[in-house]
Amino acid sequence: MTSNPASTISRRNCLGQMGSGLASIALAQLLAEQAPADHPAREVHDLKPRQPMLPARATRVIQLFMHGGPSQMDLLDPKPALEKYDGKTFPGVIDVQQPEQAGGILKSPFTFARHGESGIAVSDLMPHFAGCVDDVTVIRSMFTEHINHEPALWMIHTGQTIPGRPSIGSWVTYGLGSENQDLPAYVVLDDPRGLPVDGIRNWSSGWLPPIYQGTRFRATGVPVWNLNPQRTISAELDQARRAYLARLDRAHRDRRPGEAELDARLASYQLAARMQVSATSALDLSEETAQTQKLYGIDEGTTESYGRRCLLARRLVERGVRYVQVFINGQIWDHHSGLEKGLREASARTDKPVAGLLKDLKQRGLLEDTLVIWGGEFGRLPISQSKNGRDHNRQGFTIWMAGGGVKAGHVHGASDEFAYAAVEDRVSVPDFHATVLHLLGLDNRKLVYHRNGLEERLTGVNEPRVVSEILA
Amino acid sequence: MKRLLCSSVALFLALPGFIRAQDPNQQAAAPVFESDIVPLLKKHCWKCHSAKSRKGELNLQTLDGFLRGGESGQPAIVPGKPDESPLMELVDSGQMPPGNASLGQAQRDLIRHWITAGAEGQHESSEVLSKSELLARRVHFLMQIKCQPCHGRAKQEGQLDLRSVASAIKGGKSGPALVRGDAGASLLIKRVGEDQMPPRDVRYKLSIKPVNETELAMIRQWIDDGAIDPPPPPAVIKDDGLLVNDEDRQWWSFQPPQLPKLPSRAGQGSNNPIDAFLLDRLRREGLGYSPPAGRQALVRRLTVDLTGLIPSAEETEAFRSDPSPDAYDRLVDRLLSSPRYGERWAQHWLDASGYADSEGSASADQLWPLVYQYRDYVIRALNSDKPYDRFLLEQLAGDQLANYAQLDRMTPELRDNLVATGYLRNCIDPTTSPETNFLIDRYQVLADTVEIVSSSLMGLTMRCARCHSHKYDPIPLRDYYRFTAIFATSYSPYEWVKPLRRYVVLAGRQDHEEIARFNAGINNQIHPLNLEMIALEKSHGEKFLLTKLAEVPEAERALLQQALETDQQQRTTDQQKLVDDARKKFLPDDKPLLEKDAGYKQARQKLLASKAELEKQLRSAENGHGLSDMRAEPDPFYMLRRGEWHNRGRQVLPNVPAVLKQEPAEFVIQKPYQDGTASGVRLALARWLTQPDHPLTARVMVNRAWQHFFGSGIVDTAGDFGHTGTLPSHPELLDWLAVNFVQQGWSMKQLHRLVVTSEAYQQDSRSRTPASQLDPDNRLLWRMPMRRMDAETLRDSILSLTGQVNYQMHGSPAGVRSGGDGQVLYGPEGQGQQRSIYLLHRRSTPLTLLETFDAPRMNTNCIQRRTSTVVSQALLMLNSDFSERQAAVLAAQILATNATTPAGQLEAAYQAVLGRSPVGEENTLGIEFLENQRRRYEAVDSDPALVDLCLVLLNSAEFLYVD
Repeated sequence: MTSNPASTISRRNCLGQMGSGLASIALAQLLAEQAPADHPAREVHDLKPRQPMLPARATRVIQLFMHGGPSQMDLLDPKPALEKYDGKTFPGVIDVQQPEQAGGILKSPFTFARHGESGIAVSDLMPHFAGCVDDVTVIRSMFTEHINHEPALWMIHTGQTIPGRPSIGSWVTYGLGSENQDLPAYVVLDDPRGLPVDGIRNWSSGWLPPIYQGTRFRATGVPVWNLNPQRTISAELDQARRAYLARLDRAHRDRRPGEAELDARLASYQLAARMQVSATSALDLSEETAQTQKLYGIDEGTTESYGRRCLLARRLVERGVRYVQVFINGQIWDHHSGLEKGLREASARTDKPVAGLLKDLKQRGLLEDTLVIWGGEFGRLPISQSKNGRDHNRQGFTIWMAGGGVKAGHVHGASDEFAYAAVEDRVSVPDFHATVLHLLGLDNRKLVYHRNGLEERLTGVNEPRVVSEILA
Repeated sequence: MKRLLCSSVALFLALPGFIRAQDPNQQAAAPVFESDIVPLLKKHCWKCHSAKSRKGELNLQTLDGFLRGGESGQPAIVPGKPDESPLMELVDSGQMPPGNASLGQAQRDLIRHWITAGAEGQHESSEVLSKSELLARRVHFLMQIKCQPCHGRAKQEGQLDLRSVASAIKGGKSGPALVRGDAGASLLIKRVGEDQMPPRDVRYKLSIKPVNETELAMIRQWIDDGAIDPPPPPAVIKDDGLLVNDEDRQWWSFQPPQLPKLPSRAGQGSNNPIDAFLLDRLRREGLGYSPPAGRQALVRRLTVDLTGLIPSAEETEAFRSDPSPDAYDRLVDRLLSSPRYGERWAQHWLDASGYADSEGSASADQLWPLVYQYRDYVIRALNSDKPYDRFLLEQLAGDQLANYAQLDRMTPELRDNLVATGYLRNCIDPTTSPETNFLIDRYQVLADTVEIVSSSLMGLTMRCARCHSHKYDPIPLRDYYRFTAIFATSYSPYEWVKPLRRYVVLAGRQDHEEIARFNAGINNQIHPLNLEMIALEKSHGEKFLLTKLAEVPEAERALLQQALETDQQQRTTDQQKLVDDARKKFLPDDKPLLEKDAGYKQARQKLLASKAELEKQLRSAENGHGLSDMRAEPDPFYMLRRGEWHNRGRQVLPNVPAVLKQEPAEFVIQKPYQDGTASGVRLALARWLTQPDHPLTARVMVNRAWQHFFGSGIVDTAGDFGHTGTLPSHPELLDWLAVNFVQQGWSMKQLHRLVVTSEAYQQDSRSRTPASQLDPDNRLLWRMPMRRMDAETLRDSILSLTGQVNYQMHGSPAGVRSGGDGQVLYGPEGQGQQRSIYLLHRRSTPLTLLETFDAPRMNTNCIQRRTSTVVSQALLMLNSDFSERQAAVLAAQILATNATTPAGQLEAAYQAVLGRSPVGEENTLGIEFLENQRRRYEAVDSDPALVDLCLVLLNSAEFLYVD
């Protein structure tokens, strides 16, 4: 479902008083609804912009989610040992998902070269991104908790391997609200070719109020469900319907003074009308020059679709949308077999658009306070699967971040000699979450939501560390 | 550390002076536990951490208590290493003792000094395990999880049994699995080290993770050290009630409700005790009720609350014009006895119990086809006003109310008892897939079940106590696991049954016999057909072989021909062999016949069709979606330290939280039958929960009913009656209602009747001063709150006012489909128009319309729905296919009446949607809108303007909100 800005929810969230002699409690005390001083409970949920808790380095996020588990040793984490021991049995225990298909060590079919002043190594699959390495921090020591897609997705998006929790985009909008009241605070640009595994739950607000849920914008056609009338009618006819409805609703409200919810409802109908205009305009790429479109690869068949979404992402953050997630259909990075061909295809579809986005953000001065995150839910194994593929790997994977307060041209952490497990300066998913929140000026310990007597956090009961080494 | 056994020696040694004298190298004043530390502890720590009041399972009264540590399973101190001692950190940071009582520098130094010097003191005799014993226990546990599924109780692959050291040494087909003292020579180590064991394919199927390097090193070490047997498991934790005291029981909701005296209310009209309590409270604040609501508002409010539908225009008019004094009472009676009542209130119950039609995890989100039996049970139970205590008894232990193994006949009542246990199967259970069938997943099923039961029936949030003793409520870790053990009798983590294999058979012995008899009759008809089929193939086959003679070697040709031409009965053994060999060669199956012999094909098809026809009639016993016990004597169940599945603590026995027991022995487990698998554990829970004076059961239920009528409960946090919940706004009323509920035989309908016939419920809903300033949240109920329709009421009401609703009850859920853009819709057209409760509730694909209006996603359960006001609601109501279609149906119906003037059409639309005529300005506004819109459309063969009018009214706040 979609959920949208400028809406309110009253929440009678009282953390009760303790004591006895209940019958005689004074009214004032009963109504005091005290919340503990250190964790003020929010009474009203809206998307008004809120001050961050700490000095913020980034004010918005574009997350380029690379679903399926991109192969770290073929893209961003070169390992000569793989070549040396190609075909040999892996020394030691290796956690494989489909053992009957597992083989020996598999060297990378791609060649790596160092790029930029930083000299960060990138494989020949990503020539465009290679030109941007001086703007990014590559983290080669990520690890996660689960070897299957869904639990790993829940982990990377919501902080735990169980379904039903709020996604990081929901937490961020809960914490910071939005700078644009005519657009949703948290926008998801999914692929018209299909949803990622686990579908819309990837951007669910879980038990956070639904106004913090990701709103899907479709990259072509009508961006939001039910944005336009079912029957095609003129603006005048549509306007007349709204005006008549507003007259009736105002009269209804006037007969019921003091019902704030009726005002909120009137406001939501007004926003519906505004969104019809603003959402449509945000998605109008004809406002962009041919040169810009070219930068994102929109002029080429392979890169057109993903390029379009990357450009839309820039247009949305430019308008003050807080969190934009860009998805690609299915699991294009999930290469259990045919690794070489598959990686070539996935890279060809995304490399130019991703680099285009980084360059465009930079030239417009947006990169400074926009955090760009690239990565998937886990990595892949150094051994082969079905001869020419690689199976899932939770022990180690690589992601990168750019802009928004992270170091430029930096590599953090390292995996073992086969890129199987993260070994140096390991970064857990909760560490990663805490770091993203920190860059946005949010303290993962203090961003809490009271639920069923618990203080819920994105990072749960973990005690993650902010990866301060990557902060610029 | 030295281990001192002889107490007289110990006493002697414990004298500080002695140690100083014996060990000149030791620091001058090495403190000793008994003499130096105890006085300090007595003053600052023992209030919470003594043998009696072991907060967080930590007992600081003995030295071994320090070394054992608390519920985290980590020692509180590491002798010699103060910086690695958690206790030191807590003390130094001022976190302990809590509050303003932190220790002074000198005291902290003393403790640090004591730890640094080795934490000397006297040990109890038997509590602490040696390092090697601990190692043996860990290895044993590891092997239980990773080896015993194939080499244990269930089976012994390769004749190897790894349950004991002796049986491992004895070994299996490949010889001894281990050699004491020599890991290198042990086959076990070789197989595991080379990643041959557990075998990779079996790992996947049985959800076993590989043995990692640390674990392998641990096993090696254990073997090298001599492979000792694990020490006997720690004793079962006694139910000594030590961790909870009477002070804890003083919390209001842990005390049984007492019938309070009614406040005196001289001179008031209402005899309803609800009003006595509410008005008494209001008057003390100088307030009173609002005037009674108009009949229009009242009939709408009551019909929505009791049936989840708006009243029809006719029903509204009938009540409005009924002059008799008992008109309202008759309306209440009619609605309470409507089948729609059960559907409405079942939805509330299904929310609280977490109902959904699918497993809930993984993207497949597999459907469980029989879950609806539980939904239907709930609807039937509510419509028949099944007493609430019986309702709970059936849901918690319906499988133990009769000896089903010995049952002759399944009756509708017994069937209901069984499917009622579907209540305990509502949580997410992803264990069908091997990828999510690890111990951690299974314990999660147990935890979710505990959460559903505790929040929906007991108004408690027990979840926190899964990892550590509850921070606010007196629920220690052990009580959480005792409570969990109640459900482990059916959900045993080590002997897991996958969801679709978990069912109850809805048949008795005679039913089975009857089915067998019936099936035998059918099989008797099938049998001749099989024979005919064989004969058919034989005769056609032999004819076919005659056509193949040319391909037979010449020497055999004539013989074979002769054999084939001889009647089968007359053939010699040699002849028959020739025929058989030829068949093998030319007719290994009947494929060549099917291709070449049309006559055969046709005859065969005819036979197959008759056979299929008969097979369709075969019956099997019906399966029910429910729960039953694994065995009459449940497997041992253990606490999990920090809630971690691999961090097993001491054994616990099934029990209920000590703080809720007035008498230690009030939870009694008795096997209901001598034979069969029922353990009686859940039965004990049901009986305990439905005691008339249970502190929570009745209170929680009446409070939730109150919440459904008044928008929020007397206790606002309806799922949390503990310390973090809110206090009741009217504690005496709550208790009166609870006691009365029980006295009235736990009748839900009586309770609902009592509430809706109160003056409080019949008040006007408009706000007014000064009450709105004094009590802006209306906690004292000086008016009836205005409420938005919930999701199901909205959809069902629209379908009912357009006449599209299908009131068919019960049965498999009506499917939903995905719209092109990802919205989830019901239908296709003309289908799926049952009430919303009968639609498919797949966790991953909730109906967009319902979810948009705050129908909960069932992750566990939902005690209180939220009401959000978001723009997607406006967009959906204005622009969706659903709204457009319903508005069009309504417009067509209006056109089909004789309402030809704009005024007449406006009147008809108002009546249908709002149940009233337009008044005043509404007339001119509406007529103007219709006429202007018609002019703009210039439509000739349709009337989109009237559709627009209907659409606007369906979008109006007056329709969506209930006064």
